[in-house]
Amino acid sequence: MNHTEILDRLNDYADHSLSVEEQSEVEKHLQTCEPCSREMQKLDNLLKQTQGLAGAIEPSRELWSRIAPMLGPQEPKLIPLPSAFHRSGRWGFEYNSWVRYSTRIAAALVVAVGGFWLVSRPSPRAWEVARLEGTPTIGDQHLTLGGQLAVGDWLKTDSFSRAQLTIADIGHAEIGPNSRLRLVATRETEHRLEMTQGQMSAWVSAPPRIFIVETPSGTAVDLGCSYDLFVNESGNGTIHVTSGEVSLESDGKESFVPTGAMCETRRGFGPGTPYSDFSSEVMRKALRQFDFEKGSAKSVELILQNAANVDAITLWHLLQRVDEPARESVYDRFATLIPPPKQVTKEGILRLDKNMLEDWLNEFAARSFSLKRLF
Amino acid sequence: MLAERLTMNQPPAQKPIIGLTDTVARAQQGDRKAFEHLYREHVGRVYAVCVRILANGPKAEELTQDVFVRAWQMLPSFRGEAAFSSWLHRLAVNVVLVHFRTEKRREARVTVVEDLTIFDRAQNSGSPGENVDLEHAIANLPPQARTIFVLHDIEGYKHQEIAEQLGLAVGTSKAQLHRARKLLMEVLNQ
Repeated sequence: MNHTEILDRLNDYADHSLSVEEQSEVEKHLQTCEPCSREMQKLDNLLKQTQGLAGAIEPSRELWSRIAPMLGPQEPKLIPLPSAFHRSGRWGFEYNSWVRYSTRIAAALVVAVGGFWLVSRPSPRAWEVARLEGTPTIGDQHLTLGGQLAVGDWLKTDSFSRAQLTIADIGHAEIGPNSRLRLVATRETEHRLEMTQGQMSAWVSAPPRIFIVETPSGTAVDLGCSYDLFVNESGNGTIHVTSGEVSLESDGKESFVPTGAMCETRRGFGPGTPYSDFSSEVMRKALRQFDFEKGSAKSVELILQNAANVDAITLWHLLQRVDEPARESVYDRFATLIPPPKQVTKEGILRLDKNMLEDWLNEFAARSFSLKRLF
Repeated sequence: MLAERLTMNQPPAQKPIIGLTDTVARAQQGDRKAFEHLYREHVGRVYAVCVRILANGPKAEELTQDVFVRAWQMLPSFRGEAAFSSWLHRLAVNVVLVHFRTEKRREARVTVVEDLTIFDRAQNSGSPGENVDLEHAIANLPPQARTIFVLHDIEGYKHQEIAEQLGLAVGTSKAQLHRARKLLMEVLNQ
């Protein structure tokens, strides 16, 4: 290495990422070259000073008082997806094994009783809107403080505006800049918005399938959760679920998006295949090819090559979306990562037995997708 | 720390239960007082990583809030195979990076270093004045270079992990780190 090359590689030298030979070559050069030695000294000082930075910085004292009221119910540890039964409208297990599922039954009863209580309350006919920033509008009215969104009204924000929307009596949503949304319906059994573009962070505490957001490329059906939804000018969207689950639906196609997962939607294609927050960029690109660019066998091959434990939710969907010849390869890869429960057979999965698919989903859904790498 | 991360993908049965302290166990059962205790013990570290990456005090508090709300919700699934502090710290980094990815188009253009006195609250081990200068210089770095510098040089992440999390090539992560260090050296040696 000449002087310039060595100067370029001082960072690698400091990080010990050079080969032994290179490391020793740089070391020798530093003993004789004044400019390189000075540069190395500066870098050393910076790294030492960085190491001396505090591990902790205290936030404002009142932060806890803002967090404490937001601590709702914790996610259950062993009860997987009471809403899975909601999605399909059946229990997904055999009568003679009911004892094993008694916990699920208890959970479902809690959901059912809670749900009855929630849906039996009268809901407000218009939703409260509070201005957070800029001047959001409802129809032609500019909001200086707040207003009410009635059925049929459009709430709009420009690039400098944000608003807080109260979703009847079941939750709230923050509406980001450049958003357009309309209240379609609000009644005890359904609260429905249309969102043609923009950003929304929603938090909902209600039985599944009560809060629904239509976008040009798919409909987000809340299964009891909080999520962020982005819809661009073309009507294509991305949903990121931060707790609970969401079902994205369009023309009979359904994507089930759990906590810590994302899903993209495209006009003309509907919802794509969900993926974890931790899925690699290679995986995401391959999925886009598969979902929205008439995915070839090559993209499936790429997905399977790059699949890791965190991609369980992706592979589960993929089983149902690939052609029959590719399904066996998806099964094999998925089974290596997440072994199926005893009652699930390869033959059953290859013929897309719904009970077995749900059992396999429940097998890994109890674990947190988003925190997979933490455990 | 690296060894801890490398064990994360092993089968659960092989891992010792080291993170389930009495306080964590009580918080897992829904004890809010125990969770508040965990909050007080760990909030400084969580806030530090948020505020250093975002260079925006109010936004960092918002994300710190998200981290603890998510930690509370997900605590029953914590099996104690890593220390609670590592689990929480990883969660904080993930929350910030997800925010960074989803918001970067909107916010990357506008670096909002609103209140640098937040760094005066840091309990630094070196010379306090010098460290505040360094904190200010880091906060003024371009967003991507700042994120990578904080993750690599302060939090100890490897380029491979950073590249995966941010959806970049490893080479880009290295180049951004070198850029950040160069800018910091220039500022600190003025």
